[in-house]
Amino acid sequence: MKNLIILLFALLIFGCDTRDSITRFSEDNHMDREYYVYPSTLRMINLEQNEDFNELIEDLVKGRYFSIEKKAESKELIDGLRADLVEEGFEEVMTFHNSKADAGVYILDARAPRIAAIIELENEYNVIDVEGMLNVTKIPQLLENFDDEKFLNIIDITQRDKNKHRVEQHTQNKQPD
Amino acid sequence: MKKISAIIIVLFISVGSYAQNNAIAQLFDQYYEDENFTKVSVSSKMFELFTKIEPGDEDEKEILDAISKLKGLKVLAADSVQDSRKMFNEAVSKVSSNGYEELMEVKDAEEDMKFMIKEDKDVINELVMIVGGKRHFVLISLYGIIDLKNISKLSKSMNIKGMEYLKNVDGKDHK
Repeated sequence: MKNLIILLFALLIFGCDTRDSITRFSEDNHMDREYYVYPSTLRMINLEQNEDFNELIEDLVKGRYFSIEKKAESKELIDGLRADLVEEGFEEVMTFHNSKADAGVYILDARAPRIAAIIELENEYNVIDVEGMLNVTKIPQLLENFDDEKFLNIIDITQRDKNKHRVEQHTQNKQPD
Repeated sequence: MKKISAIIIVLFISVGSYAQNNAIAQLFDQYYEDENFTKVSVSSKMFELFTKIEPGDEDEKEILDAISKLKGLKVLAADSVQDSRKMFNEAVSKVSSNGYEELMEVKDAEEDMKFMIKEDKDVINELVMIVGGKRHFVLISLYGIIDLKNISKLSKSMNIKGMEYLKNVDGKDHK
């Protein structure tokens, strides 16, 4: 009897997929590169320690970003992700549409709110997942004094690293035996 | 008979207010498929979320109070269209013939800008901004309970160019 109860619990735990929709999507589709940012990362890219920017992100817990190349099957995958987000309790709160991009922003109103965005561009889909809140009241001051040269472009750096890696690989492959 | 008249009046009012809402909706529908236009729509849930933020000072409290009373925002914008003036005139005539009151107009060499509002019992529940330039056209509809005193602060947080002109319009002075 004891063994049967343990077995039932084990089945219940392993049988339920407790991962959230975006984690499930990225793991099941084997994203080759994901970016995770934390308040410490954002404070680091804030080279001159702009106070308004630091206050904007103070309630942010974590942010995640990945992209998926547009292929025949990716539209179906992204539609599936949209449906999964809604099933998980996310609500679509913003839509954006023009000739270059199509985006949807979703919010999960929990104790630590989550904001997800799916942005469709010409050749790729971008997925952004933010846990926590941005202090929007800091945006006016930030916009007035914003200078992007005072912020480190972390994605650009990692892309440069990726491209360098590709060039190195290509050179190695071309070397004669 | 009295009852039937009352029902007819209520029906007319409902149809009237439906038509008003429809003026903006019609304009959005009209250009929805046009690839020259950017369309943005924000629902009340987005604004509700901002009420979770702890205000740091009185200014922030005012911005958050104003945001929390909003029910939605719609933006229709194009920056490279041939007949932007025609679009502007058409939009102004459609909106003004549907019960919107003109609040303010700004004209310069670059563009014409009109602000229109819809009121119910002294409460502004929609603010429409229409801009027509040489090649650009913008239509913004902000709805919910709108406090004109805070609207220019709010427009800064949303980065809406043009709404700073409203900073001198007080809620009581617009009539």
